[in-house]
Amino acid sequence: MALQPWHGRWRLHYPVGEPGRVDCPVAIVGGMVVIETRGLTKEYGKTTAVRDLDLHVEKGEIYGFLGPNGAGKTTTIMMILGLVKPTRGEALIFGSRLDRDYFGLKRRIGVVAEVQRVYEDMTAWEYLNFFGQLYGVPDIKTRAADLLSRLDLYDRRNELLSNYSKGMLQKVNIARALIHDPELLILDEPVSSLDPYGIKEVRDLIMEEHRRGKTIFISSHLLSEVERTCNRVGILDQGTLVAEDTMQSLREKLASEIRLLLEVDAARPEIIEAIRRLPFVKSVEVEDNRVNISTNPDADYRLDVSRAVSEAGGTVMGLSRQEMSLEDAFITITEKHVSQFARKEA
Amino acid sequence: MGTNAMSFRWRAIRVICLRELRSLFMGLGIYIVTTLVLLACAAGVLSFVGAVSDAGLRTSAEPLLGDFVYAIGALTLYIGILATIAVSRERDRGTLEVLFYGPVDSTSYVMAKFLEHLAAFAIVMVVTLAAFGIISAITGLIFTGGLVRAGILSLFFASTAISFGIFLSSITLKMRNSVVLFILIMVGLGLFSLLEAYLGLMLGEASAFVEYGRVVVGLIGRVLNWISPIAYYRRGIEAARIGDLRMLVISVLSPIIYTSGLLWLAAATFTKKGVRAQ
Repeated sequence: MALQPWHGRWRLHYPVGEPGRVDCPVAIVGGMVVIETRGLTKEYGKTTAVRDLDLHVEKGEIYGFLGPNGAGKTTTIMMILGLVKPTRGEALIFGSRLDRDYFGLKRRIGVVAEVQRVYEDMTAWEYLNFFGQLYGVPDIKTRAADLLSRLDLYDRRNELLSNYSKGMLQKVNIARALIHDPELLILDEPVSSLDPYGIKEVRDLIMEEHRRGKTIFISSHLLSEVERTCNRVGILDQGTLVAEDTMQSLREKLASEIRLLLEVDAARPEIIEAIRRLPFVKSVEVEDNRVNISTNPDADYRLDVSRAVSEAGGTVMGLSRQEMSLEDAFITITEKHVSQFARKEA
Repeated sequence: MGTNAMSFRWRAIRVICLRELRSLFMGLGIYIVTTLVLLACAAGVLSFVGAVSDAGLRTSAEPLLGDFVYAIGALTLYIGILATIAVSRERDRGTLEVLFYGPVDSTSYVMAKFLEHLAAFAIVMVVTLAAFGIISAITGLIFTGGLVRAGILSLFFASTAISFGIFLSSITLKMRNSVVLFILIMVGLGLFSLLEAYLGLMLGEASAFVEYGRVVVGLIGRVLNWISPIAYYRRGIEAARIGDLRMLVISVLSPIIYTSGLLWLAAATFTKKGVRAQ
């Protein structure tokens, strides 16, 4: 992580992936900005849907775009895609404005919308072939068959889309977005209408496409899903980007305390007292043999706690560090922003 | 706009146009309307044949032309409504937005819709011509070159109606609104023609108010007759019949100018208003 100049300002740059979870498969290639917005603003009369948005998504990352309902996420996506005209500012894709190379840039993007919209008089097979022809895909049939197989829809490829369930339609839309093998995938609530099996299939597909080098921009309400998948997140609230960082960094910035979950052979008073005496401990709660310890967020104190328990004659049966979830971070950030906004308005 | 962009645009036009044509001919609507129009024309021709046998003799250089022009008028109206519905329905359903996620822009979409409906009209017009050929063979009424010329000229007339429908759907956003607007304009024009005919038929001394109305309606009628695509169609048929090349060129060029202007306006409106359902 280093400070780098960026359009006349300084920003933190993450040259390699600092994913939300340690098992993130691919490092960010770094350097090339795939999506960039500069002062992007959309006003509808007196209402500002998106306000001075400066967003940047780098090549090879999975970027989670979060925000409460009505925060302006879909409007932002529509402006990036050139389907809604911004009131001010501009959006660049692969470093170019869409109107400079409309067809060339559109062929490099795959989009899945929040609501499934398909031609209901077509079968899944015809639908993918239609979009394959539109994008000029060389071997459409092989590509369509591969995608339908990966999404477990191949056997039902000749059924009319009007007979498909919501989850199946969402999968068809994902296949449609991937038919031309785009470099950038923009997904607006990609798993919202899927069952757990469907979510896993789509998640696996997203991760696979990511491993193949695609940049993925996910707008989602499902925070747990974003937490599992994304390298970085941007949180939009009332049209303003209130946070943009890696998961780990967000947690560190927002956490006022860290919770340690300790399990001992027996929660004897001398053990509890030894823990309480530790200088970094803020509070201790005991429930049977389990002890919840709140510590300062500045370091990992598991070793100190373990040592204190041993010295007090106890045995540690288990000790884990409970990190702040994305949901906690999201609520903290948006609530903080709402209260700041209210103060400013007042 | 480079060659690459032009080739992408042409691909989009071709692919969307073929898909929509297929979808149109997979539905029943176009077959039902064409059949009804042809049955109505057959009834008109039968009534003419009945009148001939009643009177013993009746002369007409183009005995089938009148019915053919009515058939073309009805089919053009239908294709115009289809064009109006097709675009706004796609916007309502959200499939228009999905198309625009990909390499499709306003110009290619509008051109695809236009060519789809023009191709559909051309197919139906050829079928109608063939049906009139059969009617001619059955009744013995002569199938003249005038019918073929009227068929070819109808393509220009229909292109104006189709582009007008596409333009209406681009400004109204909702399917219901665009269809209502299209029908209101057509009904308005029909009512105006009736009023014009009624005032012209009024005999004897009329009040000052009626006289004033007659003058105003006459003036509007003259302007409409000057700018109306159907008037150009009629004039084109007449010009082709008498060999008036200048009038024929004007009758062909005018719909082309109307069509180009309306399609340009439709594409510009799409770009300005966006493709999302409101």
